[in-house]
This record gives sequence, C-alpha cells and structure tokens, in this order.
Amino acid sequence: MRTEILQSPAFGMLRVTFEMRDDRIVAEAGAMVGHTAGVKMTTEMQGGFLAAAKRKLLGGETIFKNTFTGTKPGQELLLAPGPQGDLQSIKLRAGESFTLLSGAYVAHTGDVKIDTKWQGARSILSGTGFFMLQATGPGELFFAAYGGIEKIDVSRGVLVDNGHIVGFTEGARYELKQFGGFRSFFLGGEGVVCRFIGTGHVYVQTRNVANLVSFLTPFRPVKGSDSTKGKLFDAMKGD
Amino acid sequence: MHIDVRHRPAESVAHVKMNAGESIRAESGAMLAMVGGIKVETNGPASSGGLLKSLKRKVLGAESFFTNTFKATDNDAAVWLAPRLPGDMVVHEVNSSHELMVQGGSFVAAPMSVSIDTRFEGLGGLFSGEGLFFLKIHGHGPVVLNAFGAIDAIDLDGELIVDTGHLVAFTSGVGYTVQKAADDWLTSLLSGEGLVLHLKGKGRVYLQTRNPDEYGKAAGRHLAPIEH
Repeated sequence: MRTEILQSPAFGMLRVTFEMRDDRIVAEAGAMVGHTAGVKMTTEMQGGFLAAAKRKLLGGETIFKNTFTGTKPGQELLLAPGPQGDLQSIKLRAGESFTLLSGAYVAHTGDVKIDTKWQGARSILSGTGFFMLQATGPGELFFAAYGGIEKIDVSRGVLVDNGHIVGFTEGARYELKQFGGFRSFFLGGEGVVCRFIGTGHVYVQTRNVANLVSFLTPFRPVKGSDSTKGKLFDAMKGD
Repeated sequence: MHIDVRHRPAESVAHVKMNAGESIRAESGAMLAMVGGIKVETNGPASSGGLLKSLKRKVLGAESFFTNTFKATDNDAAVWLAPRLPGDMVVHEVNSSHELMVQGGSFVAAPMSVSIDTRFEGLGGLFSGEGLFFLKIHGHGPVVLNAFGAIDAIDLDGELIVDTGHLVAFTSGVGYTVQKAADDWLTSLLSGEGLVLHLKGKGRVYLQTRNPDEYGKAAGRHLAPIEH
C-alpha cells in the first residue's frame, strides 16, 4: 500500500494506492473524497459501542470509522480532513504512543489503537471544547491541522500557545502556564500557553480556529435589525 | 536575527531566530511558539502614551495595536509568529531611503531598530469608519507584513487605483489621494467599490488578493444571527 500526501500545506489530501490483498486503511467518517470503483468500504463503531460512545463524548470524534480495502492492485482512495491546512503522518512502533488533538485525526493503517486520554483538572485544552486523544502503534497515523504544521524539537524546552497544539510524541512532558502577568493576559493577546520539555517533538499548527471565529463574529447578522438597506444594496450588486 | 517565512503562501508562519540581546516586537496574539531563553514584555501602542489612547485606537482600528516584545537571553532562541487569517507573509527591508505606510492589520513584527508611528493621522482618519488604520514605519531593518490571501508586490512608477481593503503597504515615494470609484457617488456605491486610493509615484506597493471585509460579509451572513 502506498500513501502520498498531496497539496501540502494549505489543502492537504491523502492518496492511498492499494497493492496487496490485505491492504487496508481506517479513516474518520466523512474523510473520503473519492475512490476507484471497486474499493470496498465497511463502516463500524470501532472498539465496540461503549468504547465508541466514550470516544464520541470525550474526544469529539464521530463514532463511526470506515475501513477501506482494495479488490484489485492499483486502486486508489483519496482522503481529506475538514479544515484548510496541512496533513502529515507519523509512524508508530508497537506500543509507541502519540497524543493528538481531537478533531485532528484523519486515518490510520496497521493496528493503531485510538484511546481517549482523560486530562482531568490539568487538561491542556480545558474550556476550549477540544480534548486530546492518544494513538498507540504499530502503524501509521495520519492527522490534519488548521494551518501549516511545524514540527518542533522539545529538548530545549518549547512554549506553545494552546490554540496551536496539534499533537506531541511520547517522551514530551508538558505543563500549563499563563503567558506573562495580568496585563499581558488581557492585552498581550496570548493567553494560556503550554511548556513542553523532555524528548521528541510537538506539532504546532500555524492558524487558530478561535481567531477565525472571532474574525467572523462581528459579521454575523443581528436578529431584528433593519437590514433592508443592506438587502437592496446586495440585490443591486447582483448577489 | 534571521527571519524565514514557511508554509507559503496560505498557511505562512515567520520563524525568527535571535541571538542573545536581540529582540523583536510583534503584534499581540501573533506568537505560536518559542524556544530558548526569551523574555517577553507587553507594550501599549508603539508611539502613543497611556492606556486610554490605546483603547481609543482599538475602537477606531480593525484591531487594537498592542505589541509584545520578545528579547533573547540565549543564542539560537526562536519565536514563531503568524497572523489570524490564511495568507502569505513577506519581509520588507526598510532603510533611510524611505518610510513604509502599513495598513494596521497587516503589520506582524519588526526589531527595535524600526520605529512604528501609530499617531499617523493622514490615512488613518479617512478610513477609520471602515475599521482601517495605517502605521508609518521608518528606521532600518526587516518589517514582517501579512496578507489575507497571497501578496502581490508591485514596483510602481506611475499611477495605480487600489481598493483600500486590498492594500497591505506602500513606500513613501508613492503619494495617495482618496477618490470615488466611479464618476458619481451613486455608481460608486452600487459598484460595491465605494472609495478607492489613487496612488501615484515611484515605489513599492504590496496588495493582498483577498479583502477581509468582503470575506467576512460573504461568510458571516450565513452564520446564525446574534440575538439582540
């Protein structure tokens, strides 16, 4: 089975080419863009109902995962994530883990196990509506980000803005910090940051969903306001 | 200091490498990550005094102009800086031969050898209603600019009519006047273009291929309304 990442870094897409009989890839529901006729798809709740429900409630992933297999060598499958941004992969040895932002998961090959990782009070992303998942090898894990993906070595210590964490390798330890003092929290723009140390890498995305939301919010229509002037203008513009 | 823009043109990030003693001032909220010994200080708007003045600018401008200064205490320290919206970044070297007029939302970062004047009223006053404000930048050193969309760098020697929402920056050899998009006000309004800038002279003009205001309106109107 060959995998190839296309259209990096803004519109990352994965092209899978099936070669052998038992080649298979498991992907997040909704990731499929297209495939050669003859590629088979089965849908299941991975790990059984209770495990899947736990993942849905805590990880924000959908319950269903699709498994794709080929029926003839050379058949292809295209997979893409939701957001605009990059798609990358990491190969995990048996037992080796990778902590990944919920929502960043796209697909995996081999026997990668996806577990929720309950952070408790020290949740990196508490209050944001996102959680971290833990993936354990063997296999290859494909994940996507909002923005480009920078892979940063943690051994000298790295401070990362929380909204930009995509994932980190086993061996990287973290602690939450507030960026600067009181004044910088409110005026400086940066809020909670995470300090990584240890061995391995932290994957950082170059854009932040919260910024997109705060940019678009002022453009939301206001219920009950007089928007006839706006409508007339739009009509004349030919919208 | 070494600035390297990665993941161009849509998901750009500026990787700024500094040695001990060097520092860079960046728009607040631009930091993604930093490595090595770095001290951070928050500043109010670069050249005006007082918190109240800076709040006034927040109301007038598309965003408040607060900055953070990152000072390296180690060699090989680095900070990653990125803007809010998808798009490209470019590094423009400013020197004693010119000044750079930058649309407020397009400024990302510059070292302390570059001065930023936020009290530059010339253009700022005219477009404050549209939430645009301009910075006057001078001194010597790299200035990191961002765009919404891709950046088109034009070496102008003549005239150019520009939609203000697409203007990132231009050098001081280029003069500007505001004019209506069309000959009469009604056509100007209906064309959707309104006011435009008539640029004339010799210098560099940076344009962005997307207009944040147009994008905001196009996407925002389909979102759930805010209850009033």
